[in-house]
Amino acid sequence: MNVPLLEVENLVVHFPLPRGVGDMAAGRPRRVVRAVNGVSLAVRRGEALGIVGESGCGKSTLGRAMLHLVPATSGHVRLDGRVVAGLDREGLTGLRRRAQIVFQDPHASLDPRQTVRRALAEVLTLHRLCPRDAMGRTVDRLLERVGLSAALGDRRPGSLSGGQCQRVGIARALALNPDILVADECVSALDVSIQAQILNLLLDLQAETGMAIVFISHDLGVVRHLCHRVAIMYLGRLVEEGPAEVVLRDPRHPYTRALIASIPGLGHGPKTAVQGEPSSPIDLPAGCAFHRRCAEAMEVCRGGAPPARQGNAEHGTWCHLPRAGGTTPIAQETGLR
Amino acid sequence: MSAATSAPLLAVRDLAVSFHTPYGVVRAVDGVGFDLAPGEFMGLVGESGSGKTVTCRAMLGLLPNGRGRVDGGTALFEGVDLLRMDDEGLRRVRGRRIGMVFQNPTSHLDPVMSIGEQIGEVVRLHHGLAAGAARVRAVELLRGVRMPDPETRIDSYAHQLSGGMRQRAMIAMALAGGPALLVADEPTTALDVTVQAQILRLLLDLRDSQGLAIVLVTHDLGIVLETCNTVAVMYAGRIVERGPAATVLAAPRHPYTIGLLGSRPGAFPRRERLAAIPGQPPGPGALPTGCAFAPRCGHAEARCAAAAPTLRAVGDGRWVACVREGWS
Repeated sequence: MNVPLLEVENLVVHFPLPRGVGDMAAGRPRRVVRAVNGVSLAVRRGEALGIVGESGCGKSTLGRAMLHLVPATSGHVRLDGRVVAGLDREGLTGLRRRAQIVFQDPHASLDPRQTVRRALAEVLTLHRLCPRDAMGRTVDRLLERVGLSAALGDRRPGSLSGGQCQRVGIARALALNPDILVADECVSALDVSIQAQILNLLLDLQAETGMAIVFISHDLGVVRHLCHRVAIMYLGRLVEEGPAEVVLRDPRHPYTRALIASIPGLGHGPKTAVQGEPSSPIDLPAGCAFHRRCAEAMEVCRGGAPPARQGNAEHGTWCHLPRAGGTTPIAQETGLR
Repeated sequence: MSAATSAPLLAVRDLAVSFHTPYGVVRAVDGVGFDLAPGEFMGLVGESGSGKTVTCRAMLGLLPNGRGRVDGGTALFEGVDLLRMDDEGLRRVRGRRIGMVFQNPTSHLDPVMSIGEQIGEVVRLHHGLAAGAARVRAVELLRGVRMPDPETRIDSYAHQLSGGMRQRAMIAMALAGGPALLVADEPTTALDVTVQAQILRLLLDLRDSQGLAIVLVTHDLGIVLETCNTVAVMYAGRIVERGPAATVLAAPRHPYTIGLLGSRPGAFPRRERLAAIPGQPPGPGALPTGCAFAPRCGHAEARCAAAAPTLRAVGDGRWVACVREGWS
């Protein structure tokens, strides 16, 4: 079998919280945010993989851990079959060159004092990708590829719109010609019409370069449009993964079904598909992390180990009683089109 | 009840609002007008800077002090012009007859007062209830907005509640005065999608059970389709199209509405380019003369630059502000 481009195996990322004086006096143990709790996932060459979940589910931490921007507590991240943890400085630079990230807040992810041109030139210089005399042309070409005029290169982020800043962020990642681009909620802060432009840009760039995209988002509608495969997360664990179209038409996990039913615009009226809100990742329930909100929870869901993966190699779900979804609103395909 | 025959609860005409900025006076809202019937659920849609929030705040006398100014127009609510009311009168109307819910409940709830004290304050002020009765009423209101465990939550502070619960508390406060109109400005934008569905369901149920009229400010056309009777689409400070939500969204007529719908990923086969609108909205100080959408519009003609088109009735309760209407 082919080695996947990037592979995550049993990845765990925990963030210990500072212990207060009161906690120490009372002898309470240090509390830990269990952001990612044993995720195994592969990114294939050239594909678009969506990672979907609500706030606090660990999707951004997972994306960052994939690029070794946060250290894994345990488990492995492999790029082309080689473990990423423990790389020296040179190895890390090599990793960064092949795996890039675009963040949600387009303004906060650029240096406000740097012109666009300098921000892009800095990346090229750092990675020794472009001789100095060719820099101007290379930067112009980068700007053009993301749909910005060369004149914009002399501006600073403060005088750019959100959509323009996001294009600069994408150009900066693109400068290295990466094999994999992690896009962390990169269109969430943008207006609908600008969001569509950026999605088109990502589609065009992927067709042009063949890079893989890990698209982290809370918006199942956008993920459905852009991604070949999708992984649904809940409280630090995967609950379902598979081809996007299959998962959305035939969701097996109750949480996936609830998410789909909650997408506005399918013309079924807002349904309270699921009660309550996610628990805190500090205080994880035993058993299946979703059982407190799951209408179908049984005794086996409430204790013991979390459910193991079920299904086949393509479409898997982590549920004690995975069921065929059958008629989701998406399967019926009504409403806004 | 038919929305068309009953007298409007709220009638806005020719609303114009400008802001004083370091770069000069900027017109944020221009010539906005609509009617809202009792029990009507209207979506006010547009992208950031389109003037939807400013429209609501101007009606309620909540423009930032000294910077925003109403330049003209009327907003008749239950027969009284809100735009000509003094502060005292406005305060009374806002607490009793018009409730407000904002995007970010954290910054609109008092961090050092419990939820119950805040709701109780509204009830005492506007209904003259004693403290004990006010608390009972507050629990009732919290139960009405489906706050889990209202008897306990009433003593919670905002920071102890989840995002969804905070928004429920805000809605309970907005309902405390027994309003006829609820103005909800992006009430679910900061919430997760499953919680968003719960809050929208709640708003719909309140409309049905209490006959509440609702103005919902949102950027999400999907939400409009699922919750609203009518919709008004704003672009660069003007309403460009309005009418029944189902027909406007099924067969939009203004090129901007068409473009907004085309930007939605669900409308296209997967991984196909979206029909995005080129360019970006004009900055508030840089409105082109004539139709503000013309520079991004695929149908723009010479006459679009002459004067900004006004809303014209095009039948079936629909209104469109485009020079192409009436020619087709």
